[in-house]
Amino acid sequence: MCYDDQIISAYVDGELQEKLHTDVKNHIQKCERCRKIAFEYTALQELFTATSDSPAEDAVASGERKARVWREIQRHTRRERVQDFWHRRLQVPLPVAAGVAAAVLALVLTVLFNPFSTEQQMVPLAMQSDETIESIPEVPSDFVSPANTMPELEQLVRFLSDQGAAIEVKIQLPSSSKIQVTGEPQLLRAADYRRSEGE
Amino acid sequence: MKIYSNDPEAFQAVYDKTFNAIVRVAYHITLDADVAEDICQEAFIRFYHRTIPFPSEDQARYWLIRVTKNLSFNYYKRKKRERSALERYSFEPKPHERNGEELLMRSETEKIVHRAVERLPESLRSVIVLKEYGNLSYYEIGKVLHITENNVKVRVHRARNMLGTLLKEEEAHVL
Repeated sequence: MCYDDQIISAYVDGELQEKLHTDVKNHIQKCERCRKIAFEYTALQELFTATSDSPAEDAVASGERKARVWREIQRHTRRERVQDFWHRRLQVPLPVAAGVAAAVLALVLTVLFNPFSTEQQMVPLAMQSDETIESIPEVPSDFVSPANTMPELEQLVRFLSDQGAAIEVKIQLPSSSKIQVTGEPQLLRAADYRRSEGE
Repeated sequence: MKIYSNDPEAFQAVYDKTFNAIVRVAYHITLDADVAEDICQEAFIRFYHRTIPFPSEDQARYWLIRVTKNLSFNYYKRKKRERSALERYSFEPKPHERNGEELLMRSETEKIVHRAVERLPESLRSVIVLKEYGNLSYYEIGKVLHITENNVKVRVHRARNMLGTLLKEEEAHVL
């Protein structure tokens, strides 16, 4: 019994399983008709092989062309990689994203509504003790600041002195007369200043 | 192992293994080496842009060959429409060859084979080009075209029978 032409076609292509391949091979040796069909398919296959080994075919798949296409692809993708850096898509697992969002939210809420806020500590110390508040003299209602500006220092000191609330200001000058200049504001004794002018 | 097409190493590996096959496939559908080169470039750029990973390197190759085949047939159909429009306009058929260089490069046998393959319907032409020029097995052709191996076997057989008839016609025409 002859094999179907499809089977012979697949045989020529080496696409049959080993057992069937051997059976078809043995049959073809004995059958004139099947041998002729197999010969035609093989000749057609060789025709393709012959044309695909031509110089034109080699030029199509040449190393030069391969390198040229590679360069073009690299040029294109490199430009896109630079552009995409700022527009890239980040893949973050949902649990991680949710965790980060919760942490950020908690941080914001803590800053806004912190029960242990340091706001109380910012109240002036004088305001925190009743004794201190009482010790501060009240400004009399008839006190008028000249020209509605801040009172002069002398006026203010006099006023405080009248109220018996003198403030002791202590300025300690360096014991040595040799004061090194370090870029900070300096206090000079008049005697030292006059001496330095004389030099 | 999954293949990420934007991974440089994976990309180069697929490129090295697939370039020759796809440039040949593109060439034997478009019959133009420069167009085949452009199509290959386009196919690889599309491959690079694909964000979904491939289950394996073979799947990546099948995808590339499929894209190349589709791009090539799209080009071929467009050119065919343009050619027939031009022929209607000028009332004389134009030769299919693009330039003298190609004419010199191709032997008479190649031209006969190309003309015969060109006359096959797309479904048969795809399998014969992938098989004879892409050197793919029935299994691989099935993966590229999304058809069964048995279907590939049927198509290859039909293509061969039709090619046999067409080649005899072409030879008679030449002689």
